[in-house]
Amino acid sequence: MMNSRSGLAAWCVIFASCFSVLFLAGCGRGEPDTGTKIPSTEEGPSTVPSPSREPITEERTFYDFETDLDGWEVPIWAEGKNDYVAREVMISPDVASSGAHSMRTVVDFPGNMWSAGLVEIQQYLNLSSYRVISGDIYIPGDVPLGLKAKFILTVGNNWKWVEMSRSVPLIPGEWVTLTASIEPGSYDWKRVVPDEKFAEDVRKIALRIESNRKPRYSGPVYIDNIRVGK
Amino acid sequence: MKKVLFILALVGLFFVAPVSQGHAAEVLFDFEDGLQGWEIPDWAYEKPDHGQKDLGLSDKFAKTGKQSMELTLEFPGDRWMGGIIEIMQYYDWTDYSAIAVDVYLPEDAPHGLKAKLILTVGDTWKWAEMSKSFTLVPGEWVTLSGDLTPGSIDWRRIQVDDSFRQDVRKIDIRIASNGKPAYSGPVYIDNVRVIE
Repeated sequence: MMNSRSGLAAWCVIFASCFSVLFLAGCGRGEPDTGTKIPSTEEGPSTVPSPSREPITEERTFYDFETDLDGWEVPIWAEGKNDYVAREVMISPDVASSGAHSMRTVVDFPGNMWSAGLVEIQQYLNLSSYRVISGDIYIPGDVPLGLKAKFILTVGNNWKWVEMSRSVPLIPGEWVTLTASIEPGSYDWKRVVPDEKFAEDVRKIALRIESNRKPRYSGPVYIDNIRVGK
Repeated sequence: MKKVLFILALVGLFFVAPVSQGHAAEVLFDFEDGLQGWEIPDWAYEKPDHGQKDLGLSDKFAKTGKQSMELTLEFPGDRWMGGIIEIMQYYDWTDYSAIAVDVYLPEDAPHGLKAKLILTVGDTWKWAEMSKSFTLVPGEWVTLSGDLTPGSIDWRRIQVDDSFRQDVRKIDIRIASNGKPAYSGPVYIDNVRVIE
């Protein structure tokens, strides 16, 4: 008797689970993906398509640091802050992921506290015809493990600060490529799911190298080949 | 023999380097004989957020030759302020790929001032300002340059195609302080040019 009751209960649980899955999925197997209701960049809920999974076939390099910094700098607002530790920026022939030069910034992570080196360019850009933004970052081979990096964009009329939802670990002695999708529906950005307008009005691009209490490191970080792709 | 080869190589570099390094530039304004039509536009005098006081010639600093244009600014440092100068002239720059100008800030000036070029283009007199500013460095000449070729990202809210550079009607140069620094004094502008 107990066994038949247990069996019935088990069938009820399985049936309920299947019903829930079908209900949450909208009973829509075979229907086209029309997007999800999610908060957009500027306004209330709107329908945003999913980002494409097609490979990137075309890239355009915006900043190659071959002859000058093209406007990249350590921002003035970061200069007086204890937790922002990038002190200078220059072009350098030391290493390059493409061409012969890269951008070199010197950071001074004290350890035992979160700190970051941030470099940025303020430039009005319409990136809506592109799907991703990428950049290459290099730390010398003797740098301790643990540094991470992310892109931060400033977008739209209200100069909204939008940082990546994840950081990418840097590997000592190797170029690491940082890539983020800027397509509508991308989940690469913290607290923001891009809509169609997101990439139309980019006003700043920043790269932030972070040490979350460790490691401690004083020395150069190299950045090169900031590009967009589609 | 090695010495001869070394000297030959040096001589070769002397002749080849200038050709291979860069593109030929046509200097439009060198300010050796006057302001050549550059002025502070009337509308800028009426704007409370514009603080250009005077425009003249100077022999204190020059990027090329002996003179440059001296623009006197007055930025209080508590809000965004710009100082603008311009020349109205029709140009067809189809044969050129970039426009450039050199700007000098005196050594005792504060850090934080920025500058950009602005063009007025086409039948609709479209205002096309650069998408980025150049940070001026006290005591140094800084070159402002804008890509004129189709697909350029150097101009804000404009899709640059071939027609962009075919019909340029004004060139403006704007120095700005975004809340800080406060600055009262001159900047020097020289060597306005287009580059092949």
